Amino acid sequence: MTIAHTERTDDLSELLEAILRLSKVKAGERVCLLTTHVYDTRMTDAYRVALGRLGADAVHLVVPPRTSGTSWINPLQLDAYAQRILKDAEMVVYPRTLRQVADVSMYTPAYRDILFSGGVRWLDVMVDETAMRRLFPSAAMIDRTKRAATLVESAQEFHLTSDAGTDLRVRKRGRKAAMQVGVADEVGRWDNFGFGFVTCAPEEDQTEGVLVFDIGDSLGYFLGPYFNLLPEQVRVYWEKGRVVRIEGGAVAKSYARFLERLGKPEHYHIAHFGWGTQDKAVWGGPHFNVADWESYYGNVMIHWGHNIFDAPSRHSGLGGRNAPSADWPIPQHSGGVVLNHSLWMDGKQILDRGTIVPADLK
Amino acid sequence: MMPQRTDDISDLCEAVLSLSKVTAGERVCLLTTHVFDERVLDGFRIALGRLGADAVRLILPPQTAGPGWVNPIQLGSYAERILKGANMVVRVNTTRTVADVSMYTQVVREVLFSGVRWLDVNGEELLMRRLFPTQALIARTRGGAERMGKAQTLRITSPAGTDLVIRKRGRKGHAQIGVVDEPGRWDNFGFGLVACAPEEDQTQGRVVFDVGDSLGLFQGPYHNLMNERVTFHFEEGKIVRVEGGNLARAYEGYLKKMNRPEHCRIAHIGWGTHDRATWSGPSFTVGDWESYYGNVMLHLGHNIFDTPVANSGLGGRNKPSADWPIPQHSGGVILGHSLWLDGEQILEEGRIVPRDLQ
Repeated sequence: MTIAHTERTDDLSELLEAILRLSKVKAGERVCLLTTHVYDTRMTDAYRVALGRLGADAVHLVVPPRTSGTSWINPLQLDAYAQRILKDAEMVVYPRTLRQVADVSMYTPAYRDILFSGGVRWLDVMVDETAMRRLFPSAAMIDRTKRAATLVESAQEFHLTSDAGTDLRVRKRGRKAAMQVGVADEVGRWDNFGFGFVTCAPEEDQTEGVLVFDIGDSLGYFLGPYFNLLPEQVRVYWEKGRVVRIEGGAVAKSYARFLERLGKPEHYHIAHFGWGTQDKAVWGGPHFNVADWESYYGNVMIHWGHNIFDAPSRHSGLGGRNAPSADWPIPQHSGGVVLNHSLWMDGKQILDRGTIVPADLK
Repeated sequence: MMPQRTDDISDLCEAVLSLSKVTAGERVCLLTTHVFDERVLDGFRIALGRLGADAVRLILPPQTAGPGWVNPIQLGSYAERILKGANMVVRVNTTRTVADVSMYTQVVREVLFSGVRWLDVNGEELLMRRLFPTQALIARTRGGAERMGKAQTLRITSPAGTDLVIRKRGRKGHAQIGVVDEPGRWDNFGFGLVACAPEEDQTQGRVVFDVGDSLGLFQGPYHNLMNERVTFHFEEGKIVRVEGGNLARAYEGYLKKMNRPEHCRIAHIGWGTHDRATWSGPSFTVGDWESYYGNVMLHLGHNIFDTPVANSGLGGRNKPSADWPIPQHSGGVILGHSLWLDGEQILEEGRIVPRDLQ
């Protein structure tokens, strides 16, 4: 189903058509192109053209901003007209390339209600055209991520180690496995275009040990743009699922202070845990974006924060219990990505210092 | 209730929406084609936010059959379902460079009969301001539509020679005042007129378009008024002859070439009630043309458009004979006419006679 190199996608609309085809958009399907009121018209025009070529029964739905006092709240409120409209779609495509206003939050009951309505699938597209092209999913990436999700689904416990001192045990009994491959091709599936990884929501009170972010690893936006990698080690200690201590130098101190100031207890528990499968993702450099960061082949992404997001499809959604403690859940996550780690799943080695070990997961 | 000032277009849009009783929590769908005036849509977004409406914007992609447009809302489509889920639709159409939703379609009927109220806003800001409806306009137009609804026959005459008798037994009266304040009502902001769909096979006589009257877009922009007379002769509801000079011959040729039988019968007829509408000049628009105080608008073509409420819609039987019904209408507007409803004189050479309809 992926696009052959012999084909051309010179115009953005042709690229988007290839993206929509991967998600099996068909003639006559009710497709809702969803944006906030601040959107890139070049992008929405190209979606319109692509959806038209596919013969979809498409509309563009623009949700106006919502506030409480001077603060944003979710532009998609529970039981709102927009929710009804989205529940009636067969597919939602959500391009969000301009992030200047509050976006629809995944970690909300309104979102859950739409995905569980029984007929909707949902594709987020948060990367720009260059990244869409570079990170266009290959069949190999999709296959290995699917196989990984099947394994993670039945796993009970992860053990993570590194030469820098990580020694962390994470349990996930009864939790599903989620994969992101950029394809929403079945009812109830949510996905994120350009991304490639497998993940899960661990049991919230079971994580024990230490996670060492080494020099060159990342705490994500905490240090500004993604390519601002860590200049020094940060050690995060867990007891009974909770971050109890953050050790290191100046970065560790300011990170501990950041979490304290945030004042959200859910940001002390792991949201999701897994590894990257996207071989086209880069680490550092001018094109380094959120999709690269989360999907980098052989990385381990450990976010803390919300994980109640769920979807009825087998390998979509987290289904954790870490709910937002505030109405407008921003930031949804903190934490980051570590490289060069070794990972075991119920005793089976998955990563050896950042290299994927099982032949069928490479 | 007009606010004291409406400096920003969002203030003006709020006043427009308040007239139609948009309330907090109402599901409002702001509808456009994919070509729109961002500034006007921003104004409506802000206004709807201030009113606390549960609003979304819906942008319809274009639809075609070969190189030709078809209606951007098709029967049974996702867009139709979305519109049926609204309490109110506000359709803004300020650019008109692509095919817009046609009123004369089953799909619009379905939406209106599901109980949605629908306000078209076809004007630009200058027009919205100039033609903002007054309470007096609303009252006289509603009164006129009531009167029109009850009438059985309508007769128009003019010193130039018009003498036309129209029957409208069982047909409703239609008011346009720019206000949709009850479920199922449709209206057109900035307009002020009373109309009805006559019985399609009953019109007898002749109507004389005089110098200074208008055949509308047939002659290009609205301010291209007629420089010679054109007479339509009707028999059993149908135009049998168009008489006059070059213009009459061109118009007859136009109708013939269009080859749509529905364009040889009256779609709707009535009178204008908008005292702020102008006749010609640089700001002369379709709203002025249709609404000019004391005019008689006589359109030929489609009149199946209807709504479930009194004094809104036409409910005629003159259907589109083609899928994409453009043009919906031909015909025009005549000034200086006298008009009777069942013997009661409503217009005396372009002046409204009954005190309560003035």
